[in-house]
Amino acid sequence: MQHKKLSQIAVNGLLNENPTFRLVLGMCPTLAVTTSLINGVGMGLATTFVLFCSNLLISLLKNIIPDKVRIPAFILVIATFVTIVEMVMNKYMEGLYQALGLYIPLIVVNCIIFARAESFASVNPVLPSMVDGLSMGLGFTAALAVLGSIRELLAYGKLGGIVLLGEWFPGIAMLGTAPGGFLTLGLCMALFNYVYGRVTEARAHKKQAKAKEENV
Amino acid sequence: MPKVKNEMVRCVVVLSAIALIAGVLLGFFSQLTALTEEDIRLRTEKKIAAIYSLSNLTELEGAEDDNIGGFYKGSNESGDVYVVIATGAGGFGGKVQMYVFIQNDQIVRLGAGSHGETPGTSDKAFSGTHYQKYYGVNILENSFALGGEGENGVDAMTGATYTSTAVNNAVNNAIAYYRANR
Amino acid sequence: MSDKKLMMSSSPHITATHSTRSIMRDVLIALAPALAAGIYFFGLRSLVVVLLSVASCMLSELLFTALRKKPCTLSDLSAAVTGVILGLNLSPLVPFYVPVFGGVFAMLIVKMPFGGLGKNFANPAAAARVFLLLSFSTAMGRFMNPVDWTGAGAIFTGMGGADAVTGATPLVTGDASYLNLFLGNVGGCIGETSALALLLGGLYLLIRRVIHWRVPVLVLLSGAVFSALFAWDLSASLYTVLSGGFMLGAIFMATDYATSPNTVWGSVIYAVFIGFVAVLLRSFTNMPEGISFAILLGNLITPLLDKYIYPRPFGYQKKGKEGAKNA
Repeated sequence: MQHKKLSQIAVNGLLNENPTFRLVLGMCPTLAVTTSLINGVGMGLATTFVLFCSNLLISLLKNIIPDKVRIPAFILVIATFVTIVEMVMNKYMEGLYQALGLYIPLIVVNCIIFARAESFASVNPVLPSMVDGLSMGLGFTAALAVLGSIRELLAYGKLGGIVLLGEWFPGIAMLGTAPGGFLTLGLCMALFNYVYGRVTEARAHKKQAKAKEENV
Repeated sequence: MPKVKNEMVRCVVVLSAIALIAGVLLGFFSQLTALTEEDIRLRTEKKIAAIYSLSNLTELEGAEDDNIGGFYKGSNESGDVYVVIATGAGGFGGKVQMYVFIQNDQIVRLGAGSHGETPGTSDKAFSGTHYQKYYGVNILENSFALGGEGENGVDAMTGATYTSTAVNNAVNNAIAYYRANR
Repeated sequence: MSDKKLMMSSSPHITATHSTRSIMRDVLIALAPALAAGIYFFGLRSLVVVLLSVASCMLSELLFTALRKKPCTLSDLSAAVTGVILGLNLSPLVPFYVPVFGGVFAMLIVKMPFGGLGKNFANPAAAARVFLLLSFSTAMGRFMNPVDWTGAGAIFTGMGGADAVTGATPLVTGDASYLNLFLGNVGGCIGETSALALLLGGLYLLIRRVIHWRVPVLVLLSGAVFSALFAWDLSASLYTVLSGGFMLGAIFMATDYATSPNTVWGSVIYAVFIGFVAVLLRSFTNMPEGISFAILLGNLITPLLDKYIYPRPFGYQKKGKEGAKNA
């Protein structure tokens, strides 16, 4: 798919092709780290960084990497950046590193990164690839932020570690666990797609009406 | 034939090149982000403070021991507190690291360090309720026995028996080290 | 000759008298003894919990049908039935937000989004109870001993009258007398304690042909057999069957039409499976009670059973007979 405008690409990852709610990619970290807002955002930003760098590098190398070995090549590149992120997080952001634990190295197999490398970065020039990487990553981060805040608020009464709801709030413990994660994800996905569907329909109607006017 | 051979050579060259560059990059970053001794010490002290805040925390010299990760001394209003960071085997996910705080030859505080136990299921064995069983007992004479009688007997927490075993082993290792090195 | 008006319609021309509403009404009547027993043993707070549950279920269903602009289905009483069953599955001491959350979950997540009555993938009351167990584990684990009616304010126990005496249920202590278990003079959830009341209700449902005896009897039987097997002790079977939510689950929750198999052999496998899993969970895990999880699992394998066990088509004759006919 060749998008014409950079602005279109930029919005793409946030809305029409939001990795979590529309493409349903990267589900494993989504369910695991959205137990709190900060964890979700941290994971999202780490993934965004890797996405950006890997898209950039792969787009630069797209004419050099032979088609036969593109998958090992992509994985090499992605794994390198993930390891760099892991090392940096271990040194400078230890709290987040401990909280995300095993899921940081798992960013390597996050489908979003591989899918964008395969379907976008390897066939598009450098600048669009960079924008796409950023946009997909930020879309993912936004989704994780939303899910993380909902789950943290309803399960623990906190948001970003700050207690928002007092003692009186019982806390729906199940939302802090995997089944609760699935539930929240499903409901958010449904809501997102419902709103998205309505907005696109309205837009299409407006376009149709405009076209009719112009034809008349 | 030569075309196929050419292709293969190209694949190998490209992959090796990427691997080489990646290696160099990683080596560079690894050096850059290596944890210095200072870093490790600071982190351990932060961890200790998070469990039980003490003043004048200093690291002590002690014998080398595979199970002991650190030996510190601090103080609070009631006197000196020794901190032994010990690991114990037997957990569901391997070794469990415990921070053991000893004052007046009695354990006054326990805290969990790094471990591979199942989050949620093992929480019971890392809870204050379980730790209470260790507090206030003179540790010079006896070690703690899981399921034993008397004040040195500790009941494992149901549903977290492996974790309780590991915690117990860690505490006992800490006590043994304390007796030998205080 | 004919003052009678001739009516034209297509077959069938004779219909049974029951409707969804009448079936649900029968279930409510069948649940009444259990509710009465609950109030008798645990005071008026039980009634408040059950009423809250019913109100929450009905309001949630109303909310959903209003939001989705569909006709209101409250009059088929299915929400009320779910509310009562859910309420009966709770301890009399639960904080009042528990039945409210439970009702919302049962209706808005388990039942309505999947299509409403007849299209739920799991029994809403069982699923809601599991949700509550996982979300509010401490609140759901507080049980009280039966009320002492000689004391003052006994009827308002737990609500400002007499103080409720909390205690472990027979599932945990393992030493209640069979008579107490049968009559219901033990601690536990509101509707699950009195086997007598539940059996009366079950009998009514059997007479009114709302449920078939196959599933409840087989669930109880399989539970009895497996508990005796696991404990290697025959007396365990009677204790298992009479204690906890076994009977309530077997009679009222496992028999939900939408979530139990349609075929004879399907129901047999389903019922035995539920009994087996419930006893498995009780014997080998930390949980004192396993029936809700067992029923949920049974609900989940029902589509599988329905897919692979073919019902006999109307008028079908086995191949052997046909072959003999033709030969």
